[in-house]
Amino acid sequence: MRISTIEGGHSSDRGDRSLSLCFRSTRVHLRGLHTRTPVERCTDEHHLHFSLFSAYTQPNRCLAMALMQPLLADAQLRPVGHQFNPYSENGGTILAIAGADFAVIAGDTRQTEGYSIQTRYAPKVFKLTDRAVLAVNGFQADCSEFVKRVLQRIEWYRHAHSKQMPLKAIARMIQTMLYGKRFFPYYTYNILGGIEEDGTGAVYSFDPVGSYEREACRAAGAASSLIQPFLDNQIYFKNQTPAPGAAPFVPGNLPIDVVLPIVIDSFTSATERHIEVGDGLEIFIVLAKGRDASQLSSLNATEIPAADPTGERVFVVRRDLKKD
Amino acid sequence: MTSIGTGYDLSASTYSPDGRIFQVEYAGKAVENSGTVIGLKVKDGVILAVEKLVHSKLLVPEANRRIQTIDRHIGMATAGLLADGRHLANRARDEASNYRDLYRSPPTLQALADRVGLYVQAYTLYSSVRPFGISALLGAVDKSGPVLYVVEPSGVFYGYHGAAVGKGRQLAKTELEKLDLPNMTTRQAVFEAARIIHLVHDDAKDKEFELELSWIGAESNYQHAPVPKDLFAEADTKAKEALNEGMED
Amino acid sequence: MDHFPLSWGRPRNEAVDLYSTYPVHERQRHGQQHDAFTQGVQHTQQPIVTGTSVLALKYKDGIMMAADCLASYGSLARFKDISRLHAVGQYTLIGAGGDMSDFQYLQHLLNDLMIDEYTSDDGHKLGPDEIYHYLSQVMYGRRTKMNPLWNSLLVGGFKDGQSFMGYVDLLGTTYTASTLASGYGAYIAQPLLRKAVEGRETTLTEEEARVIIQECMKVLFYRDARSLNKYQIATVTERGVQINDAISSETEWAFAEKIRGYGAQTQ
Repeated sequence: MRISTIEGGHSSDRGDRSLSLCFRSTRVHLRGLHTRTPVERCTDEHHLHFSLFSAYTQPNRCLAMALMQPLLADAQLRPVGHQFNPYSENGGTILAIAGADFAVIAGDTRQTEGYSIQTRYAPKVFKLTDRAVLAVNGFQADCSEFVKRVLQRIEWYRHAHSKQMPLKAIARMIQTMLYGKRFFPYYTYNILGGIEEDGTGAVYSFDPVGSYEREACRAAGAASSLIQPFLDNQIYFKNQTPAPGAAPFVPGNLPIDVVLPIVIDSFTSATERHIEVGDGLEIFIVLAKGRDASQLSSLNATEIPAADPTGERVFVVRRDLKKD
Repeated sequence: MTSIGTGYDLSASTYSPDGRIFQVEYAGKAVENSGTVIGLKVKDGVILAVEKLVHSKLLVPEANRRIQTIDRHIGMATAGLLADGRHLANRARDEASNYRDLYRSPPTLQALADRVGLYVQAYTLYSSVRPFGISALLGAVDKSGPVLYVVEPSGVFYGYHGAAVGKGRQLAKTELEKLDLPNMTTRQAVFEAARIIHLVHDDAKDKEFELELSWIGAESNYQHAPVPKDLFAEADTKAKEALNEGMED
Repeated sequence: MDHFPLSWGRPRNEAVDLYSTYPVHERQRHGQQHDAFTQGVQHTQQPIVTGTSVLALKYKDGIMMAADCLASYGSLARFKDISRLHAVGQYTLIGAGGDMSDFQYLQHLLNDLMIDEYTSDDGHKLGPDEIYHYLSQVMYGRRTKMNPLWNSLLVGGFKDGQSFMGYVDLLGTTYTASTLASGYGAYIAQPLLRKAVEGRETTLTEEEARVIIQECMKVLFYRDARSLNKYQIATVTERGVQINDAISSETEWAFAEKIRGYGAQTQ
């Protein structure tokens, strides 16, 4: 019996996997796709190929793999090598909440890769127009590329139509732009917030390949699983019942002085429990035309100059989050 | 103009019976009518100088430059059609960049002039195009030292110690021949170049002109650059003084 | 022995080496047909000759950057006198880790860019932020083609009284901060740099900055097996880019004598 060692990648199913890159489960598939896995196989009793490492740790797997022989037949023909993984994930988290005549869009400013903090200040929330603010989260390189292209398209729209792009138009545009890269997606989770043409506050959330909906609130990113249930409870009143005789809850109608503390608490809590969240918090507030801004004064909000000073107004609040 | 009316001067792709290509010769006329351009190859550098005729006082000073940079160490001054000069300069930049991509080293002027010459020559072959209405002076300091070439509308190019093209070329050449170019410093040559341009300028025919001066030498770190403002002003003033003295004599 | 007759091939078929006459790395796998067309265009799958960490920090007068002079070939210390710091124009410095041939290609690209800028003669000079953005686009563009330039790059600069520092890598990931460290330095040196620099960016003197950088380079030499105790420090200030000659740190290895393994095996 001769023993030699080979290593191989699951290259046979590469094609199938890349097609299965789809929204919520993208991350899992990407990791599965690009991690190099040792392949063990038994051809016959005279000729035994196996990875030394696995052989020492899991000798029985060799038998199991033999049963999978047809699957691996193709894999062994290809040269061994790493497949370059064009994606990464850079932590951080974003959220947005819509009110009757305002919208709040927020994100932390930490950027990470693995266990490293790359920088403590990398903005994730961007003003697009006087009435639209976009938060992006996921793979930073895709995020900044995507925001750049969105801004470009919005500028072209303004040149072509002599007006700022309406919020719902931006939302649909973002969906087409994301879906346009359906088979090599931008690994970005987008949340768009702002004021609709009818003056109501709105939040649109997207998955990486463009499916989207208008909602009252949404959290995305590293701590979305921590924050979203909290928002479901606080904004959508899930698992709450109105006091006997009281009016039923209506989501999306909370006053701003209730919403802002919820945003801040969401991030301070996420910072406590998630290592990829922290450092700084940026909260953008879009107020409908003519709406009073006095409730923001206690927060030390600064106004971002608007193209049309009589229309909607955008404010930003910057706060510290824990840096540990 | 014996060629006119013979029908042999309509296309660059047709010879006349005595073996001439009149379109190329007409291109030469476009050069002859242009403001004078001179180049001086001296001991440790090269000077390019242009008499840029200004046809309107409304033009922005220093606009429409006729001296252009091709590569860090290569300059080009053109006499003739301004737009042709700009096109050729762009081509020369592409050639220089391509040379760098291929050989990973700065192009020698010999190699660049060769490529530019081939390009210009291609415009003498077809009925669908017109030859370049320019003569281009190419100056550089490369690994072989200071170099100066002139590419003519026909595509031929020669190396020179001193070169002059355009309206005042005859007088300029006479002046250049008087100079001891191989033993002159770049700085001295700046003064001579300015003086010659002022000398050959014909006040009676052309009213205004702007002097353009560039150099490649130790003082410019062997990069092609406009002559610094203070030195330019000094050379310009000296040139005017020399001209006035000459008139008094 | 391959018992499948169809893969035996003809006598002395170069693709079949039944008697193992070729050394392992040249040996064809059994049954593997070599077809250049099916393999198509080859893209960089891994770096070959590599540089390790680069460090950078902001201080009072500008920025300071350091990188050692080693280019490794796997674990072999292959080239021990190369410079991984590269000036781009008067205002910008880049430091490279990762594949050195990709870095040389980038140097060439930047040189072409700077010549284009110089010949356009419009009086405008590219600043560090512009060069950083250009590099980021190149890196992101190449990753999107699945043909990355295998580097992590630090860009530092000083122009018009403003200092600049940014990071970009083979994925096109970018960020700016007042202390930067790539490669192994991100784990070992970055915490030291942050502790020494954060909040003191506008007061730190050049001498203090140099001490911090030297300390970090020394720690990296102790801990990073792919490093070399011979490194360059460069600064970008109002006076322009200055890349200094390589220096070494004083090291002390006497403690190593006493180490008899780790964990249970201490004696």
